[in-house]
Amino acid sequence: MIRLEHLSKTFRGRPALSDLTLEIPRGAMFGLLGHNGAGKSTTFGLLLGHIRATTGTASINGFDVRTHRAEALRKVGAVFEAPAFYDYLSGWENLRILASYSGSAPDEELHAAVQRVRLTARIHDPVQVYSHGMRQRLALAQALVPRPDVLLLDEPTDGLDPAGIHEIREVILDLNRREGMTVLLSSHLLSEVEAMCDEIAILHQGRLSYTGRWADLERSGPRFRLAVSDWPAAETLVARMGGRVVAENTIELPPDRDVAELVAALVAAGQKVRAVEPLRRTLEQLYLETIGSETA
Amino acid sequence: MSVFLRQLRGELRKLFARKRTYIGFAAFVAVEVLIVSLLNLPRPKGAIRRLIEDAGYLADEYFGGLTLAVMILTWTTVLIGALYLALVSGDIVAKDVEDGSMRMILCRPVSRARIITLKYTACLIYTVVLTFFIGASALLTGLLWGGLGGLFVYDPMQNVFALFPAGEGLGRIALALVVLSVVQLSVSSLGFGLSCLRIKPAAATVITLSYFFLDSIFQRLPYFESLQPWFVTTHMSAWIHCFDAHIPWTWIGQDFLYLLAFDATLFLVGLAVFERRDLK
Repeated sequence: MIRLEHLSKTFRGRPALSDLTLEIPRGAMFGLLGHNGAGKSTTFGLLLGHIRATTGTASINGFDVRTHRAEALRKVGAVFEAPAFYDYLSGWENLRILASYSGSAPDEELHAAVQRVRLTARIHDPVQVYSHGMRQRLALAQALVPRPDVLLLDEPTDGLDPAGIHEIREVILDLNRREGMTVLLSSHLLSEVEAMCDEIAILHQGRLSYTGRWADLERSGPRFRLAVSDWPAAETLVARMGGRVVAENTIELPPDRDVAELVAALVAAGQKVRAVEPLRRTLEQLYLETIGSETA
Repeated sequence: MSVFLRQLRGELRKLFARKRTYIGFAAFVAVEVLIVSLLNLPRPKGAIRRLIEDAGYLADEYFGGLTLAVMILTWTTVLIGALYLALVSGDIVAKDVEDGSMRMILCRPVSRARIITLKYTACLIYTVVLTFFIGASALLTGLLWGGLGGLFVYDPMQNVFALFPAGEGLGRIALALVVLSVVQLSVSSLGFGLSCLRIKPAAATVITLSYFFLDSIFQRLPYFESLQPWFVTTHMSAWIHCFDAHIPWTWIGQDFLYLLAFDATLFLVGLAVFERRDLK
């Protein structure tokens, strides 16, 4: 569905994206994570043909964006971080004008999109009186006309209040789950990507640091907080099992080891095991570890 | 309605819904009223009347609305016509890129060549609309002030000195407006071409204006007389020759060809640059 092959982009000698290869299957809800300047927006720009790749190819639905842009984007809707509309026109007029660039879009389809993002009551107001949340909703509405197969969403909830974030998130999830739209979502909000995406890719300094499922991101083993009668002796035992001490009273076991084995060994060694508390690393920790390992 | 026409309608809606698009229209009306008021002051009025009488005609017959209308046209198109055409044409692509709305448009399955063609067409339509508005309002202002009378045209720079009865005068003004709207396209074309470059909208406007002002100044300097055919403003004065006793169609046709080549070059350069631009 979306395929990026060895995609690179250099701006005035400075690499913004280096050798990115990624495949996003049909119907996926895919998250693109990265700091500001990691290359997320460049990736979107390349996918939409706004930017010309220095090397590599980007294709959507089997069409190369560079050579067959119109075919590639025929079934694509996109939302940007700061959507720009003609503020002096109404939301409706903006929708009609933008839809006209896709060929034909009947009014019923426009109405349905407006209804979907719950903007019906204000759609004939000039965009200049819209709040940020309303602009984001209008941006999503225009991306839905004509009905796309692929949604490219660059920070779609940026600047929204919690209620707005929830609302937009529900609409996007619904489009993916009920209508089978392929969604590529870029965000620097880890919680948002975690809540919405099955699979992710992490970009760091223009390079792909990780791609796969969230769960697989935890490449190192599980971590536990131990409360034992003799900590130095426990440290030796953990090391013997292939684990490591992360901090005082905190250990990490290899992925193939069961914590029950450790507890049994501790008890056999005469330790009093008062507590074994599994520790779940936060998304931020996992993300930073991934980026950290890439940098190292 | 074809897709192109639907898209063009949207482009025109964007253009004509903006308040700044109408600044030019309002400014023209104000300047026209000012010019007519000045021409009706005793000294300039007396000078024009003397000019007509010295040629052996009755000043009362020829110092009327049509004469005033052409005088208004001569001065306003030079004074502020270029300004407002440059303002709109310099904005038309660069402002969309600057605001980010161009990226919104280019998320759609539409080619950049189509976008540029649409915007250029909208620009040309605006030029024609503005020119005809100037003509119609100049005529209206002239008629309100001076009533209907014969047409007297005097332009020493272009060696035009002519007098027409009211009916023929009106026809000549209509013809001059058609020619004027074609020559004015060159101002819009330069603004448009510059607007396609990686440039701020204001810069496109300022460069366009500067180019035409300098071109017009150099064209008038005796030192550059041998280079006159190469100045754009030389060819842009074709419209005033619609008031020659015998209209020099061959000459006007050559001017049109030169301006058409100038306009087409700017359009193609703008298109080529825009096609290759990265839009971030």
